Amino acid sequence: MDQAAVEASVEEVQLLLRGDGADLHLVDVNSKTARITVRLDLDGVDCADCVLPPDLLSEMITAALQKRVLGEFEVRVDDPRVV
Amino acid sequence: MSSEFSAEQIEISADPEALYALSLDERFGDGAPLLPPTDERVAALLDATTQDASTVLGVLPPKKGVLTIELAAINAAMAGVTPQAFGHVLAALEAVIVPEFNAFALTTTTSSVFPMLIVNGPRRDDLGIDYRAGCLGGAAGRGSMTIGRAVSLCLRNVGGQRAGETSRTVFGQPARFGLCFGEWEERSPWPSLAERRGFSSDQDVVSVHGGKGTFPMADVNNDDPRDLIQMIAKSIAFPLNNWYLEPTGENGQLVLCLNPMWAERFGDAFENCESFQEYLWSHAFQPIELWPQANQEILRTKDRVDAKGRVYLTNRPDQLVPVVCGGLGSLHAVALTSFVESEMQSMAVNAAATVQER
Repeated sequence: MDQAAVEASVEEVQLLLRGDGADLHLVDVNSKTARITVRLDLDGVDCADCVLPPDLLSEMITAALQKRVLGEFEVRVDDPRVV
Repeated sequence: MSSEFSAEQIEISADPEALYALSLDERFGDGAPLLPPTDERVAALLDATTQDASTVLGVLPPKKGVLTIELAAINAAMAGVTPQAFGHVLAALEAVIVPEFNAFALTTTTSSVFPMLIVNGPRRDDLGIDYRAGCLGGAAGRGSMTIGRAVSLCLRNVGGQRAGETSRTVFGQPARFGLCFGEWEERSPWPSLAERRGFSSDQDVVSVHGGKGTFPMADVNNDDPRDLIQMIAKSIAFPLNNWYLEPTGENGQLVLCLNPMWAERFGDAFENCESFQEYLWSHAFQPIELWPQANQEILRTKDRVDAKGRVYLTNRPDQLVPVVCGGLGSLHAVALTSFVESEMQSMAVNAAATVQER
């Protein structure tokens, strides 16, 4: 997988999240398993529920990646709001 | 260079249509265009192995054709096999020749069965072995499309297998053109097929399965892994399965292609492959009442019905063989159903006799 394309996609979503004080970190890009792992950072966020809901966030990350990354991949979002 | 070859040689026009037309006229082709097995192409394949061109690999049924490395190379050249992948072709052919694979029955039966090749090992990506989306057809990796085809051409041209003549296959199946796919080992929750069959993860291994066809299943209604396995079990134990025609459930395997998402789900529920197979097997039966009276009598005569009136598909859990492959779209599984009278064989690609890089 194209690491630069993945990073650009994550940056796109970061911009959306930072407006609410949250952040998104790229944790791992594994071409062998076709898995991309990101982590939602809510440190310093007063209202976690004001950040994009987990399902919508996952959809937005996937959509951002699909614009730039060829082939099939699986996105894993480590979201502290999801137990 | 031509004097090095022992096979009959012919000269034809360089026009690609000429070889294609000749392959149809002389019936050494499979109906699709072939690459010309020129001296250079065949020599490149022979250079990829340290084995002598005259080395006999064995005898191919049904007409007991003697398969040499040279003949394998000629057919591999026509199929478009790269020198780097030629070792996989040889491994597959060696596996096909093992008596317990029962290639004579496979190539003469009325069944649609044909050798299906499953590849494990570190060179899957380098060779273009398909194991992700569309791996059973459509992914178009060169290794998958040519290795299987080379084996098929050897059975046709060396073994003399011809549908409607030496082979009595009623329908045939798309895999008779050649089916070769890999396991997505990195997404398997359990050791790979090759590891479970005694090889190490750093070995390139080809397994051959006598598969009757690709039997698709799908589910979107249940997220419980055990529920899903139960439904798979009932689906693969369909009443006209070959296993219910045979005298016993003792022989043969069914390969169950699991998509990576389902495999993960099953891996969470079953920490080892054996426990998964046990659970799958324990539900892979049908009640004897499912069959009409005439069938019931035959199944009872064969002692296939247990004390609870259950007719198990196979005698043992290990005959149901999971292989993780396919795309990330989830929802689907495919059973490569069994001819039954054929035992899966696995061969390591002879790394010492195969040139890795050219």
